[in-house]
Amino acid sequence: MSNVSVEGLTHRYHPRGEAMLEDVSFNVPDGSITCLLGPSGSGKSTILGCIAGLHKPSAGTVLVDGVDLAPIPTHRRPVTLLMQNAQLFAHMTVAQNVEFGLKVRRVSPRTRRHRSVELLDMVGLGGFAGRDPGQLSGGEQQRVALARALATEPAVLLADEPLGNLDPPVRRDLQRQLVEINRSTGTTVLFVTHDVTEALAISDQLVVIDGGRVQSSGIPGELLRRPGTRSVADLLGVGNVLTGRIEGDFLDAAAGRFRVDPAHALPTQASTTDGDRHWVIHPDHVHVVDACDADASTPTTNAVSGIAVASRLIGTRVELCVAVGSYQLTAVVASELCPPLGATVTVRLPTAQLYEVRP
Amino acid sequence: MIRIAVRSALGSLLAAIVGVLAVAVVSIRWVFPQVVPDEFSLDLAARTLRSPSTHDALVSGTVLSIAVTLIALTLAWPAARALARSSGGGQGLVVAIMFLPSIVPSVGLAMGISVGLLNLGVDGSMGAVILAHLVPAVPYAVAILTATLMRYDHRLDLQAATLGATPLQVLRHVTLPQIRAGLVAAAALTFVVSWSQYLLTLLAGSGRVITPTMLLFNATAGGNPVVIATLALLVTVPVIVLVSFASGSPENGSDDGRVST
Amino acid sequence: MTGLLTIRRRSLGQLARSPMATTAPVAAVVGLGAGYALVEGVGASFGFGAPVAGVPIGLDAYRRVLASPTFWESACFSLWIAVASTVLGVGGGTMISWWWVSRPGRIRRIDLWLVNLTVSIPHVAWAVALLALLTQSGFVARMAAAAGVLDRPDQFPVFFADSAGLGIIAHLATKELAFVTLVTLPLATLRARHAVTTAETLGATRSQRFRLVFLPTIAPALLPATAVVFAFALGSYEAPALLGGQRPRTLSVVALEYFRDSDLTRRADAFAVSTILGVVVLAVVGALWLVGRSSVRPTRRADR
Repeated sequence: MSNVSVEGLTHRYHPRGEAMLEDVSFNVPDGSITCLLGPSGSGKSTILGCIAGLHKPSAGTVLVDGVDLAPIPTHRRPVTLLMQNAQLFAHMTVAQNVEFGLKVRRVSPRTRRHRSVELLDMVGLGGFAGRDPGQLSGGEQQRVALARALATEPAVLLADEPLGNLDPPVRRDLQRQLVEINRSTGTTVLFVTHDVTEALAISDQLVVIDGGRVQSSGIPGELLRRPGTRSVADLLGVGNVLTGRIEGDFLDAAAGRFRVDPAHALPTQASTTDGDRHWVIHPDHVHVVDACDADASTPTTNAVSGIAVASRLIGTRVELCVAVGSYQLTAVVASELCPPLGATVTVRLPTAQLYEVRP
Repeated sequence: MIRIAVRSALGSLLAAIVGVLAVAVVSIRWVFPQVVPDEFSLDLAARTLRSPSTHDALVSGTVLSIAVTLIALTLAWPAARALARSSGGGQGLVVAIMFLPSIVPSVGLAMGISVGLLNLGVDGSMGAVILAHLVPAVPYAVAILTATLMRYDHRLDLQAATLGATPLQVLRHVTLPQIRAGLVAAAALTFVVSWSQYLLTLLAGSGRVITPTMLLFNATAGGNPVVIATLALLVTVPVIVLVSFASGSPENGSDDGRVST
Repeated sequence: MTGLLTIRRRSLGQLARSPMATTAPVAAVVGLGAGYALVEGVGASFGFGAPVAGVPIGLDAYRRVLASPTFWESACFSLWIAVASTVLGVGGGTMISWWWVSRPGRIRRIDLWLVNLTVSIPHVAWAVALLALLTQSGFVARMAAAAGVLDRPDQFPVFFADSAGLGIIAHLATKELAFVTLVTLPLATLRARHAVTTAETLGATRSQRFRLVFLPTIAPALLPATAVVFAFALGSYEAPALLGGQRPRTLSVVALEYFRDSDLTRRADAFAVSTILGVVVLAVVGALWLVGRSSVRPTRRADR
């Protein structure tokens, strides 16, 4: 159970073309799974590299349990790294791979063997000890890599998109396994991914990185409601951005006039009252009213009417695009309740679900 | 740090060699302990280069090595292609055969080959020497070409075919331009292999085929230092030029194998 | 009728494109050339064949050779030179590969160029160059004199025509070092680098990374390279011929001298010497192969 504290991490010089980082700060609570989420090239892998000691940051500190990692060389840091390519040692068996971290710490062969058996069982590869890594599937290799990374009981497990190369069912399996292991062993995990679904599925805390900076951070559920910025909103799929001026308790946007909750506004934006403000609502919260109530368009109910122009199946639900004038709102409905394309629909945007974001 | 040390060690060694030879070339008398000779003249060097024996050797050597290169590449191409595509066990046997010349001690190899050529009745001719040179040259060419072709994604060829290109068109417009660098490297280095041969040329040619390398060897037996140095440069400069051509290609391991994090 | 013909034509074409057919010419040239040379050579050592016509068949050549004291002197000398230069060359080349790989960043083109050049320079030229630099009145000696370290040529150490073959070893080792670096570089940069970084994150120190991860990963290239390098050192002619003295001489020089003797029995002796050299190389190659098998493949243990 360890916490990680990253403070002002900046990385400017990139001899190998790593992404730049600018003043990145965040905390990873004890025993949590924290996800660094962001598009490719946003710098999330560079952050892991700095924590592991593979890159030297231009500025900033990394603390694990209050200890500054800067003077500590990579091989003595209390962190291990799981990468997209399992990187198993081809000249060793599965068990020898798992035991490697213990071997270099001069742990006795007996203890090592015991531990590797234990770990292989934990990742569901019970009888695989003597196998040749080349014979394993992608998912199996990653599980061995996971066992190997956990063998030395690191304070923090760093994972750089380890599930990116795997088929969806295998991926889901491993996600579940990772969460289980985190619960049972209490190992803190810092997980990098660009897959929003994955991040939302496994993380206790989300940190969104883009352009080398922290854009937003928080609990997944919270971030979905309050993305904080437009780019984070886009990234998380909170696509309904209403832009307009605030008059009293109302937002005058292209799609209509909506009542908003002042508590959901951003104080920093309030100072620039003359400019455009941006509010978002998650498609899940956009309520599709039965088409019969076509004439209710009063501001108090935040309802507007438009034409259903496109739909997309997501699992058992449908993502529906409703054109309100020149603006398109996205809503999610159960597929059996989905109105036909071209029909007039009324959608309601509940005040309680509208949140302001920075541009 | 160490890298710089190693690089400068090798680098300065090579630079010193070229430099020393170059100076020797132009000196008249250069005795210990002079670091720089006190008299310079290009006279003897020029005469050496102009002499008929040098000319003949240069021509023979160049023709010989070009012939060896062309034949070796032609033979190597289909084999390299097969090796690059296949991953089967038969490949192991071919590779083992390929390695044979490098494992057999060169003295024994040269003696055996010359005897074989003698049996065929062709010894002492340019043809014999070409054949002899092919034995070390072909494996080298295969090795380089295989490496080149392994890097080449032959699905590009398939793409071209589906777009309507005939095999010859595919070769001309798709494959060859892509592997041009590797081909150049293979040609350059195969030439160098042939150019550098001494013993094989001596034995297979029964002393009748003279190359610049052979001239150099003979000159070391009590020849004038200036002549030796001139011939040494004559032998070495083409190699430096050709290796520079070859080093430009990625086959020589200039991949940096970045660790992407 | 046409059906039959088309079938035949198709299978011929396929045959022509099969791996066997395309590699056959190459294998023929090399295999025949080298293999024939081997067979002829070994045969001749026993008295067979035209090159040794008139020589009685049997082990006479070997008896003569093994009985002569110069053989044993040369054998020791050859072996010493081969082992010393192989150790230096393989050790040095491995070190350079390791240093290049464990430093971040690309390998500079100029470094590659230097290595390539060192490998490619003809032996005769390289020997001449070393002579120019390292003889007692050579360039290095003169620089030392200019620096005031010595006054006379004979104060400079002897490298050539000496009993330790230092100059020969220097020649061979530098060439071999560059060769080993070149051969191990692809594996080192493509596979070893990642593996070494992973090992580092798992807690391995530098020496552990070198021993437990780097060496096994480049072994598939390193072991054949060592075999080639040793064979080369043992059988090399130009270097000892140009840089060595009258006594001791290496076996390769001795063999060639015998070969060019007008007495054909001497020729059989020449082949006997080269066959012995070949057997030694074979033994070393075999030993290296065994080493490779045991340490490179993962040791199989019973599943629990």
